[in-house]
Amino acid sequence: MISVKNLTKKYGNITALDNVSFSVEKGEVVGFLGPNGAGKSTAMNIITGYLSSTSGNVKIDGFDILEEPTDAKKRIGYLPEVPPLYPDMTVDEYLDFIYELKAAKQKKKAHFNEICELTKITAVRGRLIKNLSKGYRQRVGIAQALVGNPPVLILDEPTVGLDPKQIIEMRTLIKKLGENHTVILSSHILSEVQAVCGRIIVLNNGRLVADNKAQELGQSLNGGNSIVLRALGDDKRIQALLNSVKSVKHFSKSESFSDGAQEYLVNLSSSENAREEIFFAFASKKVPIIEMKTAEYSLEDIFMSLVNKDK
Amino acid sequence: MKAVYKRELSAYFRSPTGYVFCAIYLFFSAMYFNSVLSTGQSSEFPQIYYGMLSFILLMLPLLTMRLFSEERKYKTDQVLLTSPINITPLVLGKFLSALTVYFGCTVFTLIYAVVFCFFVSPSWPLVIGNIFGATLFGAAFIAVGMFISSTTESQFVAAMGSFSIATIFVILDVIPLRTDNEIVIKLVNYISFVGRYTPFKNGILDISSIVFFLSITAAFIFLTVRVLEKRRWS
Repeated sequence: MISVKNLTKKYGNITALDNVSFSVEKGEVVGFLGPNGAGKSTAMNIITGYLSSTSGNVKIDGFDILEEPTDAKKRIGYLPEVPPLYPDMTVDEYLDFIYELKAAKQKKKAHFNEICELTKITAVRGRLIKNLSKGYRQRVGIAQALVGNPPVLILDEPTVGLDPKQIIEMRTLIKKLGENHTVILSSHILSEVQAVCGRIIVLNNGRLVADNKAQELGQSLNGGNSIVLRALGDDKRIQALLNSVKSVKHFSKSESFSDGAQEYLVNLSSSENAREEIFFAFASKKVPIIEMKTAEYSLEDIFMSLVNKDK
Repeated sequence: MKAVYKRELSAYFRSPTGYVFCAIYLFFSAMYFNSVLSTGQSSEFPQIYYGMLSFILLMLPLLTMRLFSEERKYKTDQVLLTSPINITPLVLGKFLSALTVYFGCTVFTLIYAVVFCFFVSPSWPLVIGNIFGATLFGAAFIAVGMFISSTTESQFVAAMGSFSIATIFVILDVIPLRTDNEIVIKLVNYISFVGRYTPFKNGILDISSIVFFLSITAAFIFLTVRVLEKRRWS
């Protein structure tokens, strides 16, 4: 559905994208993951035809975005980083404008009702966009992308600036959209991408550093099998206990708390019975474990590991 | 093109811009009408339009300043440029919306001609010829203003840019009055918008003036398209 080949974009001397290639099949939900400035937005702007690439090409459903722009753009709904809204229009007037701009063929009334229902903006349809909250604006932005029912949706950081409840709603919406659209969305939050995307493409400094199924990316990183352990007791006893457990490879102290608890990052050689072993070892010496959980990888950890692997 | 045209036209009247422009235009044209009326000569009628020219130049930035600057500020150009529509119809839609507001005001001056009918019979070809000329005159400067608006993100800079150019044109017209040098006079009359309008005032449908205004219009519409096109590649 989307094919990106050897995409390079240079702004003067700065290389924003460096030879990026990937393809997205019909019905896939793909996440672009990367820190700010990794090239996510640039890539999206090129895919949607807003910017031109320095070299390389983008094809949407077989149509080249530069050579057959009308055919290609017809197939894309785009939510840019900042929702492209006219503050002086009402939601209905705005959707009407987009409908005409895209020369959509659907029956307008039913189509709008469906979109507004899906994005939950029915209640604000008569209001001026400038009076809407950030969350509603974001949703109107998505509604705009859905006008004309394009098969491909490109969503640039759709959850930025939303409150936690809205973020969950937005994820549900994107999952729903993923059922009958091909979706690319970008984010710099790993858990978010993992929650909605089947596949993750990681960009760093304009380069594609990983292209994995969402679970694989987590697993490959989890090879180390780390857990976070918080126990009540002094350091000496905890360290002695950890040393006594066979499956503990190494550990490091990460924090101590005012209530006397110590937190350790523990690296395990095998995960099978390691937690049980730790539990019983601590229980036998009456050192209470307050908390034990799988270490969650932050985006930074992923990058460190991916970039290190890259070398 | 129709979608953009409709949106832009309605945008003028969602904000005070459209009303302010119309009000100023009608105020000044009514003043000229008043002075023409007091001469009592129907042949003086074109003076309404001719006298307005400098004001028109200085007022048009009001209409053109927001055309593209605002899109960039609100990032709405992203939805325009990623929609399945070419840049040229997009630019034309915007151009025509500004021209429509201006043309509406110009046509409104027909009321003055109707009032004239109560006293003398105005020369209708002269009236129509002047409205036609004033429209071409405005179209050319709207295209210039739109081009300037496409080069900047700030409405203020766009307005000041077109306003400065308008001022230069207004000052330009003073030069022939202060010099005897024929070459300078000829040169100024060649490039001056007001100078180019003079045949219309005298009741002449001058082909070279028509071509002049049309080519300025076309050239700046083309340049605007190029500016937008170029931004994708930068």
